[in-house]
Order: sequence, then C-alpha cells, then structure tokens
Amino acid sequence: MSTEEEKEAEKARKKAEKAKRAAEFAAKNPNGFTKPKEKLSKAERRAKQEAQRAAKANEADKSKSSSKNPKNPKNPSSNVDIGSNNDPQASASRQVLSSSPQTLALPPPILNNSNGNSNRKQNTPPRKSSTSSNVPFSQPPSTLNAQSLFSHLSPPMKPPLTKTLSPPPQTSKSIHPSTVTLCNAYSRFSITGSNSRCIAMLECFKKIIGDYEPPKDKVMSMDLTRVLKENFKVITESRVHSISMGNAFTFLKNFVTKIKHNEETSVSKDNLLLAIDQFIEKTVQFASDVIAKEGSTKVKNGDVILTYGCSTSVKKLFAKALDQGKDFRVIVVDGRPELEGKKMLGYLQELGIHVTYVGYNSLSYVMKEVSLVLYGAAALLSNGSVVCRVGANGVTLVAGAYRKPVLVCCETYKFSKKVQIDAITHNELTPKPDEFKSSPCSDWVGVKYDVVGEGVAGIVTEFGIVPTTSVAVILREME
Amino acid sequence: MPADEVDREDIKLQAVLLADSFTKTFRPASFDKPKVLCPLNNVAMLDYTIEWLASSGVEELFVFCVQHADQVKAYVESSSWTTAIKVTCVKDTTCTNPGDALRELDKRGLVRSDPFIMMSGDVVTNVDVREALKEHKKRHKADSANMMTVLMKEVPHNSPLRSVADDLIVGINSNSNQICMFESRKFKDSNVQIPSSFFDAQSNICVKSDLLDCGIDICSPDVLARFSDEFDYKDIRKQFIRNSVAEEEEGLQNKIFAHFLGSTEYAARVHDFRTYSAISKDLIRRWCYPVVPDNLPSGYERKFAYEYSRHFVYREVKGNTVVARNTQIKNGCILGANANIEEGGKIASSVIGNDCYFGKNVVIEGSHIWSNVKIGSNVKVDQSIICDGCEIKEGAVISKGCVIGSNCVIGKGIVLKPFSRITCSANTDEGDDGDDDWSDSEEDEDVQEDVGGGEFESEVDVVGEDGKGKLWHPVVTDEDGGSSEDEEEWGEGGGEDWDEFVSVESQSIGFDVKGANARKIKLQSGGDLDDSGGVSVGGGDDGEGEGEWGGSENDGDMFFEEAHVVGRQKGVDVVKELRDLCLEHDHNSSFQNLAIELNSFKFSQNATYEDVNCGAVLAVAERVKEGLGDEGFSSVAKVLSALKKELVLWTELFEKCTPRKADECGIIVGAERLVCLPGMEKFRAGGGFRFILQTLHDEDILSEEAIEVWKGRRVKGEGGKDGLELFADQSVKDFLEWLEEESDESDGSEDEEEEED
Amino acid sequence: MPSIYSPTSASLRDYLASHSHLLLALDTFLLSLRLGEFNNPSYSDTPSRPNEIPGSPSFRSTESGELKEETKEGRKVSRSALTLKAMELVRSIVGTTKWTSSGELLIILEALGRLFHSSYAKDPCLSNTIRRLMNLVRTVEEDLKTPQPTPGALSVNTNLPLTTDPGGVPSGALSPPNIISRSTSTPSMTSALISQPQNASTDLLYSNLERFRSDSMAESPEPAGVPVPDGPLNPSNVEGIAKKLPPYFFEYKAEFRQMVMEGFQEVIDDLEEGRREINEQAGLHIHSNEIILTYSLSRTIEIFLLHAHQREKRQFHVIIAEGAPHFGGHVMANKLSSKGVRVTVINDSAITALMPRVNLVLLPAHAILANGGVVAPSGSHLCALSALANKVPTVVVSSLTFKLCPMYPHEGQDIMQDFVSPAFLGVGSESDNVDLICPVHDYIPPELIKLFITNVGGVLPSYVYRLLSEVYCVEDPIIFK
Repeated sequence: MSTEEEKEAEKARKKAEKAKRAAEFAAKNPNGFTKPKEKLSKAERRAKQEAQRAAKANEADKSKSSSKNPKNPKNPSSNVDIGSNNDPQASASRQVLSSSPQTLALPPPILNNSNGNSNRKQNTPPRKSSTSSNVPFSQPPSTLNAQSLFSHLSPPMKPPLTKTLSPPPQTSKSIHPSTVTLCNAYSRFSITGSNSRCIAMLECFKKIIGDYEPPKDKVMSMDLTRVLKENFKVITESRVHSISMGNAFTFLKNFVTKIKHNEETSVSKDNLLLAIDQFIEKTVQFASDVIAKEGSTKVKNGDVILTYGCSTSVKKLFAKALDQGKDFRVIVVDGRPELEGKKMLGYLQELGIHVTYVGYNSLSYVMKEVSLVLYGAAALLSNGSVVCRVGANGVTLVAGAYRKPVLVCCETYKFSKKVQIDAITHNELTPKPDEFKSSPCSDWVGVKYDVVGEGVAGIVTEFGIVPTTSVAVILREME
Repeated sequence: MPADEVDREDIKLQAVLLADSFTKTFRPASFDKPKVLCPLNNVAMLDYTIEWLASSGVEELFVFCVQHADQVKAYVESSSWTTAIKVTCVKDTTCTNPGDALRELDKRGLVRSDPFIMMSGDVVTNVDVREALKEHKKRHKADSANMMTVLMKEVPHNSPLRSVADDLIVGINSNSNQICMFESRKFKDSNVQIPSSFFDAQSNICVKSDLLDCGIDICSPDVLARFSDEFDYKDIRKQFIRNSVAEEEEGLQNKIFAHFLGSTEYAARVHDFRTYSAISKDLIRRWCYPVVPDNLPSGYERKFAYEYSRHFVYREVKGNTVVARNTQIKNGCILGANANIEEGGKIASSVIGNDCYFGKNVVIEGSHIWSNVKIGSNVKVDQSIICDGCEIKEGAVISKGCVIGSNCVIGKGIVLKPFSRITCSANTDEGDDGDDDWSDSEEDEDVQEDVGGGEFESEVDVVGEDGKGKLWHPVVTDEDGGSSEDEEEWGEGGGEDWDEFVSVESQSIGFDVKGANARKIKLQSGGDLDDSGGVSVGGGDDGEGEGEWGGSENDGDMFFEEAHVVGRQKGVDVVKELRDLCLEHDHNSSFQNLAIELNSFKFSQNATYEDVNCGAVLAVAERVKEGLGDEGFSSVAKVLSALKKELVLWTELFEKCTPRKADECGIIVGAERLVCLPGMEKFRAGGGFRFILQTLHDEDILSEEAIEVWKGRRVKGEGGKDGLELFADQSVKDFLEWLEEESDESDGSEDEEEEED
Repeated sequence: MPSIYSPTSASLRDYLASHSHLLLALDTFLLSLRLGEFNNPSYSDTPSRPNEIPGSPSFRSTESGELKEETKEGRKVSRSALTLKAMELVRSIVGTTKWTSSGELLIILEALGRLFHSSYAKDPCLSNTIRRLMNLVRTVEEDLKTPQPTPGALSVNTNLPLTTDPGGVPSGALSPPNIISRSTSTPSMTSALISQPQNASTDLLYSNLERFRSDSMAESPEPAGVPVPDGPLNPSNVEGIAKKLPPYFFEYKAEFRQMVMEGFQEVIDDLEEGRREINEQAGLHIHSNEIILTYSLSRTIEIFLLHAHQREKRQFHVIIAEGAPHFGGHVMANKLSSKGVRVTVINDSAITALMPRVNLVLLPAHAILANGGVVAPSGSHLCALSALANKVPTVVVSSLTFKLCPMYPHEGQDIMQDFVSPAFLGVGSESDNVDLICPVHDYIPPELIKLFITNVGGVLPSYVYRLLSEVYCVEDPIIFK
C-alpha cells in the first residue's frame, strides 16, 4: 500500500465529515469489514441500529454546530456589525481587525486562481479542527471510501434553504439582498455555465454598486472593495465559484482600487457600472461571437460535428455556420447528471439542423461517423489543460481513439494562471442525485469538472485558433 | 407467483381479436384485402398482434372476422405461427359493428377465461400485459363490477399517433385509476361534462387529454354479457365505456379502470393511412423494441430476414436485393427481399416491399411501397402508399398523400393530385348508407372476383391512356374512426369548418396535424370562424349567442340541432344545463343543495356565476310559464305578479350565487333572454323587461351596482343584437333614469335618516 | 418414423410434428427470445416478463434455481440462465426424438441453430451452444469410429475448454498449427466463402478455423473400407453441413445415443460450475486496499468480487459506473454493498475524472471474439480507453464456455450491435429531423485488454483464437443462417 494513499486515508479519518457519511460508515461498519455474512445476526443488527442511532445524534449536534463552524473566524466581526447598526467608524475598524481571519476562511483553492497551493495549506487546518470532533469513533482506521478520494475538496453544497429564509448568520449589512438571491440561484444550479454565472454575478455587483453609498470620511475605493469582497465571499459560499467569475472579480477589484479619492462618488460609480457593462459586452459576449466566427471556418459541408454539453459559444458557432449556408449535422452526446445536451438539442432543433441525440454510453458507437468534435471550456489553465464539464475528457479520449480532431471553444477571459494535471486535485463535488437516494447502502461521488490534459487539437479563442500549449503565452500577452 | 400458476392451470388465458375495425378509413387498400392483412413494414398487421398475444401468455385466441372473412380465415389457417397459441377464426359477416361482434361471441360462449384480452387487429405493441392482468384479477376479485381495464399511454395531444378525429378526454381517479369520464370532445365545443356526483363520490379526479387509447382491453366475461343486455350498443369505446363510466347510480355501474404503459412500452393503433405511416416510422426507429424490423414474428424466418445498418436502414439478407451503388438509401428505410433498384435513385424514410423493381433516378420519400410494385424511371413518389402489384409508368409523379389500390397502373408522365386515392376494383361506390357496413362488405367480396377481370371504366383523365384505375371518393360522414352514433354527432357537429378533420386528407400521410390541431383548438375555444367575437368561457354575456339560443328555445329537442347548424358556442348549453338543474329542484328541499349542485356543475364547465343566475332566472320563468300556461303567460301583469312571487322564493339562491354584485348581471341577462323568447313578443312590447328589472330591483334581488355594470356593458355595445335592442328600448331608458334619481334621493334620504339617528 | 433431411425450420417442424409438447416448448422458447424475458435489455427499472412460460411443462419441470433467482429480481435474465434453458430444450428434443445416426443429429442441431439465430441473432451464446454440441457429436462419432473407443477420450474432449490447462490438445480431433498471424487471414477467408456459402457474411472474418479445416480433414480421411450406408439418410440426400460428412456418420451405432446424452450432461455441468472456476482466481488478481472500477451490471463480476471479499478476505473499494440509461450499476452497487463490499457509484461521465485513482478495471463480456476483442455493454469501451490512458490494467472477467465466438470483427462494421427503444433517453421525438439512438453494446479491441479471467484461467487476448479450435469444429457454420 503506497504511503501516499495511507496519508489520504489518514486525512480521511481526521477530516471533517458530513453526518450522513458518518451514518453510512457507522451503519456499514458492523457487517462491513468484520467477517461479513449473507444476513446479519441479531447482535449485528442491534449493533447496526445502535450505530445508526449514534449517527443520528451526531447529525443533530452537527447541524447545530455546522451552522457556525465554517464561519467561525468571521463571526465576531459580523455579530458586532449587526449590533452596531449605524456606526460606520466602529464597524470599519473591526473590519480591519477581522480582515485577516477572513482571508484565512476563504473557500478552497480553486477559488482564487493565483497561488492556490499556499492557500490550501493554511486553509485546511481550521476546517479540520472545527469538525474533527464529530468523526464517529466507529469508523475503522485507514479504510478507503468515497470521501477519502476527495477529502481535500469541500463537500458538495446543499441548497441552502436556511439562507433563503433568513440571511446567513455572517451577513453584515454590507451583504446586498440581490447577493442572497444570486446565491440561491447558484446553489440550486438554476444558473449554470461559466459565462452565464459570470454575467449573473456582474449584474449583481452592478446592483450593489448602484445602491452603494460610501460612508462619510471613508475612502470609497477601499470601502467598496471591502463590500464587494464580502459579497463575493458569500457568493462563493453558496457554490464554489468558476474561474470566469474569479477573473471577472479580480478585474472589478483592480478597477475599484483605481478610483481616485477626489472623484465625485456618482461619477466613479457611473464609471464602474460602465466598466462592468463593457466587460460583459466585450470580454464575454463579443468574444464568443468572434469565436463563433473563427470556429465556423472549420465547419465543412457534409461535416458531422459531435458536441458535448451546452456551451454558449458552440451554440453561436452552429448558428453562424448555418448562416454561412453550410450543410452539416450534429451529434449531441449527453451526460448525466447535468443532461445539458437536452438544451442543446432543443436549440439545434429550432435552428432546423439535423441532430442525433445519444446518451454518454453511445459515445463510441457514434464517434465513427464524426468528422469534428466541438465543446466549450469552463477555463484554460496555463499548463494547457482544459477545465470543462465532467465527461468532456471521455469524449476527447474516444475522439482520439478514432482519430477525430477536437476543438474547444473558450473565451480568453477564462484563461487562468493556475495549473492542474488531473481532475481530482481540484474539483467541485456535486450532491447525491435524487433518483439515486432510493438505493440506501451504497455511496455516491459526483464531480462537476473534467480536466483534459491532451487530445485537444486546438482552442478556439477570440484571438484565433491556438494550440493548448500557447495559453501561458496568451496570458502573458494579456497582462 | 404460485397464485398465478394456479389460475393458469384451471383456465387458459384467452383473447379476442377483432379483425375488423368496422370503418372505411383504409380504403381503397381494404377493398380487396382486409385491413389486418395489409403489410406494415412488410409484415401483416395481424402477425404483430398474434405474436404479441402469444408472447404475453395467451393460449387461445379467437379472431373475429367480418369483411373478407374468408381471406382472414385462409391466412390464419395457412400461416404457421408458433404452436404456443391456438388461433380460431370466428366468422360472422352479419355483424355491422363491434357491439354485434361481442354479442355474437357471447352467444357462442367461447370466451371462458377471466380475464380475457380484447384488442383490435390493427394494434402494434410491446406492452408487458402481465402486470395489468394481475391488477385486473385483484380488482375483479374485490368487486365484480370492476370488469374492464383499458390500456392507455401518455402521448402528447398533437402526436401523429392520434387520428385527427380523436379528441379523447379522460377523467381518472388518481387514487384508484378508475376511469370516471371517457368523452370524445364534441367539435366546436371544448366543454366536456362530468356528472357532479362523481365529485362527491371520488375526491381526486384528474382530467387528462394526453392519453392515447391503445385499443387493448382486459375484460371479464361479464363485459360480453353487458353487451348482450344493452343490445343497442354498437361501439365499445364511444358507447360502452363512455356510458358505463358516466353511469352515476351505484349498483348499475360497470367500473372501468385504466392501466398506464411504462415509459419504454409502446402501443398504437392503425386508424388510417396517416397513423399507419407514423407507426411504421416508430417501428423503424425502434420505439417499439423488441418489435422491430430485424426481429420478425415467428414464421417469417422462412420468408426473409432484415439486417440493421446505421441510420435505421434495414436490408433484406436472404433473397438477393440489388441496389445500385449510387442510389442513396437514407434516414430510416426498409428494403424488401429481391428488390431491384437501378442507378441514381433517392430513397428516404420509405418502406419497400418484396420483389419490387425501381427504374433509374426514382425519388421516393416517406412512402410505403408494398410488394410486386414496378416503378419506371424518373418517377417521383412522395408520402404515398402504393399497394401490391401496382405499376407506375416512367415519369409519373405521385404527390403527397395518395393511396393507389392494388393492381392499378399509373400511366406515363401522369401527375396525380395530392391526396387522391386510386382503385381499380369495380368500385363499391359509396351509395350504401354509411352505417350499413356489411352490405358493402358483401360488395367488396364480389368485387374481389372481378378485380383483374377489370370490366370497369378506367378514368383515363386521371390515370392516363395506358393507366388502369379510377379515383375513389369517400362519403365524408362515415370517414371517421367509428360507429354510426359517431356519425350523428359529426353530422351535426361538423360545419364545413370541420370537413378537414373528417376528410380523406386528414387520414392521409403528409397531412399537417399540428396545423389542424391548432385550428381545431381555435374553433373549439369558441372562436368560430365566421364571428370570432370574444365568446368568453362562460359565454353568458354574449348577446348574439343568446339570441340564437332563444330562437330555438321553444323546442327543447330542436335546441341542439339548430344551435349546431348556426354554430354552437361556448357556454350556451351550459346555461341550459344550469336552467334544467334549477328546474329539477323542488321547493321543499333547501336551496343549499341546489346551490352546491349548480356550483359543482359550474366548476366542471368552467362557467361563471352569471351563467348560474341566468339559468336560474330562466328556470323561474319556466316555472311561471307552467303555472300560467301560454296564453296567461302573454299578459304582462299576470306574469309579473307570478314572477314576483316565484322570484321571492328564489332570493336565497340568488344570494348564494352572487359573491360579487356584478354576478347579478346574470340575472338581468336571464331576463333579457326571457323576454326575447318567441311567444313573449307581446310581453316585451308591453315593456315587460323594464318591469322585470323593476321587480328585481324592488325585491333587492338586483342591486344598483349590478345594473350599473350591465348598463356599462350595453353602452359599450356588448350583448349582441337582442341585448342592445332591449337596452335601446325607451321604457328601459326611463327605468334607468328613474333609478339614478331614485338612488340619489334614497342616498339623500338615508343621509337624513342617519342625521336623525 | 420421420427423419430429417435438411436443417430448415420447416423440416424440423415436420420432424417434431409427432411430439407436440416438444414443438410447443420450442415455440415458447423462441417467443421468449423474440419478445420475452430474454429480450429485455433494461434492468431494474422495467420488470422483465415472468420467467415461467405457460403451456410448457418441460420448462416447469426443468427450471434451474439460478434462473428463478435471476428473474425474481425482475431484471435481465443472465446469459448463463438463457444458455441453460436452451440446453435443456435441446436435450429434451435430442433425448426424446428418434434419430438414428450422428449425421441426423447434426442436421437437427444445425436446424435448431438456424432457428435460434433467426429468432435472436443478437445473442451469440445460443449458436455457440449448438456449435459446441455439434462438436461434441463429432468427437463422439470419431471416438466410436476408432476401433475401441477410449472411454477417456470423450470426457477429455468435452472437458477440454474447461480444464484449467488449455495447452492440452484433444486426442484425435484437431492438431493445431503454430500461431497464425492476421495477415494470413484474408486468403483463407475467401476460400472459406467459396467452400461454405452459408458462412458468407460481410461482418465476419473467417480465418484460422479455415486453416484447421484442412488439418482436420487430413485427420479424418474417409476410410476406404466403409461402405456407403443404405440407411434413410446419406450424404447424398441431405442438405446443410451434413452434406460434407463422411458416410459413416450415417450408420446406426447402439452406444452412440447414450454417450452423446452423457456428453450433453457434462456440458451442462460445465456451464453451471464455470463461475466457480473463475472465482477461484479472485485471490490472485485482487490485492488489498485496491480501488476497482467496474461498469454497469454483471453477475459474473458481482460474484467474483464477493468471492474475493468474503472468501479471500480482501479489503478493496469498488467504484461502479452507473451504466446509464439502464442503471445496472445501481443494482450492482446495492447487491455488493448489501454484502458489505465498499462501493461508490459514479456517473458514467465521471469515469475519466476518477480513473487516476483506480488501479484495476474489471469489465464484463457479452461475447469474446476470435481476435481477443470483446463485445461489452455500451460505454465500457470508454472505461478501457481511459484505463489505458492512465496505465490501469483492464481485465475482462467472463466464462469462455458460451461467450467465445469463432468470428472476427470486420473493419467499420458494428458487430452484434442492438438498439433498444429510444424511450430510455427520456427525450420525445416529434420531428424527423432528430435521430435518437440507444445502442446496447460496444466493441473493445484486444489491444485495450490486459487479460481475460476465464474459467480456463487467465488468458491473453492474443491467445483466444487458439481456444476456438478446442471448443468448436471448423466444419460447423460460424453463424447459422
């Protein structure tokens, strides 16, 4: 057994665990690894019940504690904030005090794309300490389990009903209502896809800035940055943010910091709003139009194009190619759990393109007919690996096996300095799907993203079609 | 499932297959070949059904044949399907409808198994019926009245699998799956009725319009008995089921239940050529797996076998099918045995039968070519059906929706109009009256003999000098899915707007179902083509409608017909129904019940309180009329006094039925109608209407507000001819003016009073 | 007493005419192939038809426990259950009808083979069964022909494919040449097509068997002394493969029937204990704390893992890809975890994402082809691919007994492919402009497969063709058409 794996296991045992998991282990344990039988003896059954009861208890106090735990570092400040309603002075100073733990409590590394690793190091400890208390003693040492595979990732987000009803405990008055609504949208996955998520966030920030009034005797740039940061943090707590969002936010921050002190508030606000609009217009939407144009040049008559997921720029690309009077058909491969392909199918039907819709299992069957594979990316990392909807890697693999070219559409604002070579080190976990809740005893893991290391012929960007290797270069250029 | 086994031991599972749909929708193909023997994807429809029944564990099958009985019999005896099922032909050419068939079966007492499966011979399915059987058994044990289970599949309302005539609306008790309504919507009328008693009986009824009746039923033998009792039942669905479920009285009910197909289960019925084509497509696209072209029913392994290749193309592999290299076969095709297709052809989503020859550059799309068809070069066939042994000479064009009966010849360069149906059987011209099928089935039979004898006139202008065959024109009225009773409905229901829904087109391939449905819905939702005036759901406030209604009032029976002819409108008969409800009410019982009754009816019909009031007033009038007799009814004074008395009695009801003051308008509208009734001219002339208003007002049945509202409408010009005329009437004007002053005064006086207090 | 001359369904029916119950049993079985429980690709979601088929006493009596167990779960009946049923049927037919000579028996078998094929071409294991039995008949005949039949010979031959040492070559049957490279296959195929027209099928490549033909013919030369029998049948008046039989196949031999029936019994036994032999190797292949990825549902793999977990006390973690749209994986997961195996279920789309953590991929097989390729549940090709990409060994666990097919995949052809109702995709189809496809199988080329764990031990893909010569006789058709 490799030491590395043991470490994993070790972590797994120590790491904070969702009570449900605990229950499973407690439940699984008695008949699990001690000589298993076809059916449990009385004793074992009793043991099992015991365990479950224990687990339940766990869950109970967990849920009590959990509400606070993750936010521990921030609690003092926010509480006071709420207490001292209209005393900017005080709150501000406390902000300053509390700011350092805040950065500590930032969600996992995938959040801020710069120097993620260092962050993770300091991140993990608090989480451990906060919850290691309620790891069920019943859990056997050094056993592998689904969680251990992803012990380093934050557990999947649950739709935060609590959040909708009452604003999150740490909500200071600087959290804008629209932020909360946005959070719910994210955590329910009613807004998905890196572009739309990014735009939604920016829209939200526009509202915030619109309503923002700098407290007197306060530097707008700094205070506003603070406010935005807080909101952004809440957003990322609702669902781990995409790289597109991250980049957009950094852009915004930079712009805010540039605000001149002497400037009229209204003026600088207008500038800000304008800047955001331009960002949405140019960097997001216009970019994908250009991509559509670039990509459509690669579509020949009689082509059979296989696509996966439902990327905006790919959609635009198809529309464009159709406008150019090209005759091609599309194979939509769809993968659970998202089943975004259905959206794509609907869209293509409206366009009147001949579509073949298949499940993920049919990949190998349809690939023979294909002449080009096209899908959209969530991000591009500077080591040339493509972050995209989970499953895309499989598509790329099969395409490779049949020697089919693969093009990936990605706006450059999704490029990131981060590096990653597999989908496990950084990823986002998805909650257990409902239709699977029925089968009780077995355990579930779902991830959101895939990391495509190789097999991609080219990236279609607004700067043209480039090889994956040149991402780093483009990043530098953009600075 | 030991219990199951026991059941099977003591009595074998039986099934009844109606090899005759008792319709003419499959003509001219069905002239010389019974519909059930027509090839669907080169397999006789009958074989699909029998194969399925056998695989569902049916051990004895009775095939009931009427038309072409001999052919069916011969086929059944000759064909060597699996010994797993014993097939017996029950022949009776005297039957004119399914009802008769069932009665005949009951007479012969062949069917003993309980339950048994009853289906029509034109159904294709892969349902696993065992679940349904088990459920049915359980139910039947519990209550012998639970005698029938109907298999239904959820299918979008505008699906190509429905015949356009099919507008089925089913009410289902979501707890028990009991069917409590089974109405085929009447044309131009989106209202269907559920006896209000059901809402008392069953808490949870859900009304669905997306259910497709698969034509497969699981019955207990009592069903046959019922048919013998109800000797006038003709159709199973439109009469037996519909009436059984509509039966309100406990005890008399035959409870009928629905069994819904699973998501991967498929069942559909070939109503006409359009559904025929749709089902063929579904089979090719494997929606009915494992019933797919490359998995043929038993017995076919001797004849031919298909091999699947990509894009839903099935090629025959046993014989030697020859397809020229540069001929395109696209997008869901079946190539039959020994087909020979020359260069340059384009064949898309079509079924080619056995032993066909196609010349060069033929273009065939969405068509069904049966066996032994010879097609010359440069022929174009679009969404048509070409029956056995036809010949299409070169350069001919068969436009969409055509059907060419067997052994016809289409001459060189001929262009057939869309939706034309050609036959060359010395035609059973449609002189025979619609609902007498068997007479012409006779004719059909002797037609068979002289087919080929061909001593009949070819219409040269249609099929060309060198052609053979003539146009066949159906009689519209019996061009629907069903029984004669249905025809009645249609006879009335169908104005010329409705022809398209009963026409040959609607039953041919290439008919635009979606469009038709859209139009249909438009018509049904009241928007009549001639006056698409805003007839609201209630329809109560539509003067014109009322005028017509009134016009035909004097004779209750005439009522529907006339209404039909001029175009029935929404809500009209709702009001009538409401009125009748009120009339049934007797004074001793409290108005509470009546109110409830009216309410539930109102809900079921999506009517308004205005309708209710309107109906009530008319009822009152009716009562008065009875009281006075016609001549007495003419004198204003008498009527008023009587009316007053009656109205006072009804005050309670009106109160119950007027949550909003505005609802009282209904009362006025009712009054309007009343005075517009024929025989009321004198009354009207005598300013009767004004007086009624007066009375109503005095009795505080009618509030000023209501009158205001009503006034408002009439001023706006709503309310149709009669309404406005009345409104324009001087006496009415006076009344209204008086009313205003009086109300002012009264306000004033009230104030004074208040001051005094 | 009717005798059968040609292997057509018609003549078989005539032959069975006098035994109505056999005919009934046959027909019910064919039905259940075409529309019945054996043709139900979905797993737990839609219950398969009850296994008990009405009106077939022969089945009621001869129902194996496994069959019952399989169908009680209301899911797809396992291949072995199907094969077992077929075997029972064949045995009852062969056992009760009055055939006189091995030649006649071969005709009957071929006829059955054709029937099965026409009813359910998709499933190879039926034709394999028949082919196997035909081989048995031939070997028995060969043994009898040789002056004093060595009692061992029979058992050796029938056992051969099942003995854990595949090296052992049958006594007289076929002496194999050295390894045959694919390169030589083309010419031999053509000759095959010439000599055996009924084998002419585009999607087959007919290679080394053809080579053996010459050898085996050499092995069994027509003995000069034997006179052409004057029985009802002889090579001249029969059709199908029997035409090629040497005359002595049509002589009546007293002990023949009894020996054949014994052989049948042995074959059935083999089938039943095939899995045991596979399980015995579990300990050799699964070490502790492994992360094993498997795809969808396979009874063989299920009991293989259970064996490793329970008997061998191995601690390991199983990641199961759910295998949409049938979700066999969910069923599998419940079965395993209820027995205490640690299981994690994932979406198929996450296979590649998790592969780096996996260190063994187990795949089931629908059929094993002559070139060592495998026909497996659709979606498993991806597993094998990403396993290779991550240098994770892909191991196919399957009994060779009836899944080994003497056919080669042909470039660009979909071999043994089937398509179930698109309804599984959960998308309605309104317009013709949309194709919905739901294939059942994938073809996994041999180069993706590290090892076969079979009932004859671990086998390399490159070695599979070699086993063919021991199970089947080259005389027999590759597919029954």
